[in-house]
Amino acid sequence: MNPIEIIPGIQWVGVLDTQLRVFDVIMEAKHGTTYNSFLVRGRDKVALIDASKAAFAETFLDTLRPAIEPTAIDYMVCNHLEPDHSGALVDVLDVAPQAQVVVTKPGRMLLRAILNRDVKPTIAAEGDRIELGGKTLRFIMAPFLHWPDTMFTYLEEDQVLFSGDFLGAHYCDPRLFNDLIPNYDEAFQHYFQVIMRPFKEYVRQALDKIDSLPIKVVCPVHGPILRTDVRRYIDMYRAWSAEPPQPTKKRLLVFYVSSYGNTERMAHAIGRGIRDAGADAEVLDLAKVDARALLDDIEAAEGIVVGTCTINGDALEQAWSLLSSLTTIKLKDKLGASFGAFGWSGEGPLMIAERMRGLKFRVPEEPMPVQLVPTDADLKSCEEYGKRLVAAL
Amino acid sequence: MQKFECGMCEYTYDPAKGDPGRGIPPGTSFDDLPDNWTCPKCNAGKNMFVAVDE
Repeated sequence: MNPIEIIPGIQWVGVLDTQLRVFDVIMEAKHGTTYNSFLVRGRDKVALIDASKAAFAETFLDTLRPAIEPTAIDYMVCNHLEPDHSGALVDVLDVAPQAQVVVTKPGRMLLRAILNRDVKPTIAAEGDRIELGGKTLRFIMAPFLHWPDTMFTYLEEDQVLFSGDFLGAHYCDPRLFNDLIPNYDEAFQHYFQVIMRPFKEYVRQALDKIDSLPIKVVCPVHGPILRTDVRRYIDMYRAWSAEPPQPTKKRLLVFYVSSYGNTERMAHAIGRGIRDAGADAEVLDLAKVDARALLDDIEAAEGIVVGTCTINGDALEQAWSLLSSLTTIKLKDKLGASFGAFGWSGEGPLMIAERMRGLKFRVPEEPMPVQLVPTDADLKSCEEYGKRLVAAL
Repeated sequence: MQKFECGMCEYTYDPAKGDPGRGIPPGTSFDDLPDNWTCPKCNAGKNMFVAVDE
């Protein structure tokens, strides 16, 4: 692509990744993505904001060169050092060795590990400014959005916010501007859910910081540049990052996967015990529900109880899949517990409890096993188990 | 005793306080923390910590 002017003095010099379908090996990106990079030209100095992914280093430099001779770049600003924006940094510095790298304090540590060479970056702190001549870059710290070293760069005179991944989307359209392309809210929301959601608290802090800023244009590093309805996008982040209302009653979700109905009966007995102890319980069959659609419920609950039978010495795939889908919500100190019926070995619930500990669940009770068909006494024990879980809340 | 700051999130490990939430008693020096000890705030590894200038 050729450089594209956003407003006078600011050009997009990014890369289109039309082929991408899965980002970072894990995240669906069915619309491809872009790695946006921005050139800001003042009267006296020039800044490049964010680089590109290593695999696209050549394409990136090919787009950059018609806009500027690399030796004329004064500052290389890195809003965060995730490799999709810093992988090509080493290539930029090869052709622009004079460029002063600007990172946050945590960014300095990451920079060393990205470049594996010694550079002396300028450390940007909250409110620091770099004067380019009629264009002033101000740095706004935005930690954990979504890397620890993240900051925003705000161009004061033109009211442009270079927001890093914040307000971005994996969406590739060469027309680049939100008003020139079809509505892409779905991709915008998906990006929030996967990338920003684990850091809701930090999202709210950042929104508070930029609330009073006049913003005409938002330049994120992925997807469309926002130059109309900017407030609408910010308001969506506001809504999605809000804390869910605290339920009046404590609540545990009981998930189970059951081959012969034995683990299922245990699940209902544990649910009864939880309710008898005065808390709320919802009992859910993992073969029928999509756990990913229940993330809000899981996040709002005090904890989860996972039941699985054991087949060939392992917990069932649905139970593993549930636990792997929780990476975008805060689990620390949530209660975790496991149970399950088994034929002769019964490792499943033990493995689930171990994994829960690894995910930082609080696991106050040992797993509850029952061999094959639960007796009335077993079901009674399950009820007691449910009561003990509530007592541990 | 020497305090150490997490280079990622700026949490400060104070040996006088330890990390009781995870069984590290007060009085444990940074060097004596287990190798797999991580930042209580952001989970960064021990090697991400730097000594704080007093």
